[in-house]
Amino acid sequence: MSNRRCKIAIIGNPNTGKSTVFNWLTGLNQKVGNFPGVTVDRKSGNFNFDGVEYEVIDLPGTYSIFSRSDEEKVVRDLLFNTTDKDFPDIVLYVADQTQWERNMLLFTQLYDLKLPLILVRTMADQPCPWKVSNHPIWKDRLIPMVAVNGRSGDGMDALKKAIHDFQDAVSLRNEIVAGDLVHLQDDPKNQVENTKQRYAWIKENFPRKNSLNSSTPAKSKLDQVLIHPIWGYAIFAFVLFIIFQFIFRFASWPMDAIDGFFIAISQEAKEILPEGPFTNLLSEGLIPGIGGVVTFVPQIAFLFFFLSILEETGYMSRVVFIMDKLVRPFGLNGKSVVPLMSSVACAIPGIMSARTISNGRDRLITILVAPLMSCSARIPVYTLLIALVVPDKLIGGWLDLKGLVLFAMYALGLIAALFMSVVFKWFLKSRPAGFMVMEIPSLKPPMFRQVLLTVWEKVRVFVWDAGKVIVALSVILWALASYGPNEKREQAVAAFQHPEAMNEQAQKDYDAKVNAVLLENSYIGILGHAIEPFIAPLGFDWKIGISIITSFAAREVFVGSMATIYSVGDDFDDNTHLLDKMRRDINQSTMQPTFNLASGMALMVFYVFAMQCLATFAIVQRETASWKWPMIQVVYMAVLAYMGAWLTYLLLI
Amino acid sequence: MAQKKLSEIAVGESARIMEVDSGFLAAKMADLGLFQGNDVAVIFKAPLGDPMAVSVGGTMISLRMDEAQLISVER
Repeated sequence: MSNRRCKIAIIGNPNTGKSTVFNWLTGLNQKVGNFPGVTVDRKSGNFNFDGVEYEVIDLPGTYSIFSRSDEEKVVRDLLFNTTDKDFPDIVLYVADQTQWERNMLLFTQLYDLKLPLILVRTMADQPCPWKVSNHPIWKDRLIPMVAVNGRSGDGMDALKKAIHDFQDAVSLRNEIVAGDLVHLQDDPKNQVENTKQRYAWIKENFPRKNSLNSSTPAKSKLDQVLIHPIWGYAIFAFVLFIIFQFIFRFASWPMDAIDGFFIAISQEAKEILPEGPFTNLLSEGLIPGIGGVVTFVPQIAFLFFFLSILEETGYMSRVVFIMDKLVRPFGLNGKSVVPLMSSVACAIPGIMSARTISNGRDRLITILVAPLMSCSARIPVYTLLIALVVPDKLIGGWLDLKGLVLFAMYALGLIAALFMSVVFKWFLKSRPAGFMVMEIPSLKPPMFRQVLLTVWEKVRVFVWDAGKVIVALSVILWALASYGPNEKREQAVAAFQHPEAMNEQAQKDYDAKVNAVLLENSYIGILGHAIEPFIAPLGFDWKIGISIITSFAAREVFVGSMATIYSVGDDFDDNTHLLDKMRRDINQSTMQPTFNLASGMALMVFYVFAMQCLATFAIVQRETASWKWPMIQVVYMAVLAYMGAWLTYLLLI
Repeated sequence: MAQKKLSEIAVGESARIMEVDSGFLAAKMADLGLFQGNDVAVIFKAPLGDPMAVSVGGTMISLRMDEAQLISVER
């Protein structure tokens, strides 16, 4: 066979069904990465037809070759550079035939660039209000035209065949002809002129069919409700309520199962493998580290299942529309709302969903403040501490004080997120501000195939891209908590008498005490002691210091570390034993209970603000493609946490 | 006939675009069909009066008030 062309790029306007075509062509044979230097998804995949391998790249949607956002720049840079390794042999131009005029603008630009084009008409089940098929340009350049239906998959085989049979009629692969388009890149005034001329040409060459002459989409009945001043917000609140119900009720089952599974294989590994440092690394460091990644999968999957339905149906743009004005004063835009609300379940999918924010500044601000929203991992910490220090009391005879404190923690997170947005808006003001000039797609039922593929893609990105960083850092944390200066540790353990009568309870108590001193004399334990003077003003002792350091892995680790330190063993299904010990503990420097109202509240405030989540750190690194922003985030949140805890302690002591 | 800004047009009314203030956003708006000579209809506004949704050439587009102010129209 002669030199087969094999690289295919899919290009088109946003909301035309581009990704649907991509998904039908490639199925699950997809990879997601970033384009070099920018955080724009580079989705590629491949398929085989009649023995020939085709590589397909799904380029970001754009209305014009004149670029304004990072996404659009990626498309332009690729098409203007014939030496780029991704430069396509065939361009699939995907056009929504119900929006023909607007879709033809970019097409005429690609046509002028003499790219080898195949025209893919989507929405083939809907009537096309324009006369399109008989125009000579299709024949002159032998541009194949394929009609497809994204819902049923009709036409996809014909499309593969058209790709396979493609004969390039222009063959100007090494020559970019349309100098105009290149020269106009930095000249918005003449871009407007160029665009107007193109639209005029399109109008003249593709006349409307007389029978279908209604041109303006009327305000639909559904939209009347969705953007209604009362119903609009009520429906949005209801949708969020449903999503959170699902996540909190149903994500915990697979999460518990995953936890149990990893605990089981870690014990199994310990039993079969010979004792030694390698076995410990595997069973206590690596396996739980991987478990710590996988345990996030249910939440991410559930959330993206719902978010992509909202996106697919077009409801998301209505939410953006009604929320934009409300959040704009804070330096956010309407598209920040759903990522921030999602962060109440878990900051990771929240931060991942910020990809839909096309303005770089607004997106960065959203990512930076998202972890301040109180996520579900904070609940075990809040519950333990509230039970410990907040008295049972009804305020005004009906308002439960414990519930009120919990609510206050959530409110504090939200207020801090909005406040920090304003601060970052001010710091980043040199970056271009966002705008809202964007298409509102029409409402349509979701395609579940698309939804499930999105879920799969997001889960994979998290597990593979962020997972590596999470596992590496959690192994380091484990090593620091499990090793320490040997002599010191041996002395500490030797201080305990091994129980004479070996009944089960005595052995258990002994083990718990040994574990407690081992942690106290590990590197993290030593660090915990070392920071005691620094955290003493917040009312914290070294035990809390150690737990703060270990729970940088994940907030809920705080509870487990407390259990180890207070040597209550690891059966903390029921916290009463632990609560009891914590309640009786006396802080050696203040001679007060370690957990009093002031120090307990200070600690809760600390957990409202502090980052304390490796997975968030890793996903921010991935989503901003830099180490700088996650570092800045950890630091600013730590400063906020320290100041917040200190003020709380001062106010309540 | 007096020129108005698109931001002043009421819901349900339509107008013809006379001029779009030049700049970065003008080119972006032109891509979507918002340029001189086209007819534009205001379909609805967000509950707080901002942003607004307009229709041009069969496409529904959202615009903030300060963006709609860049567009001069005639009824």
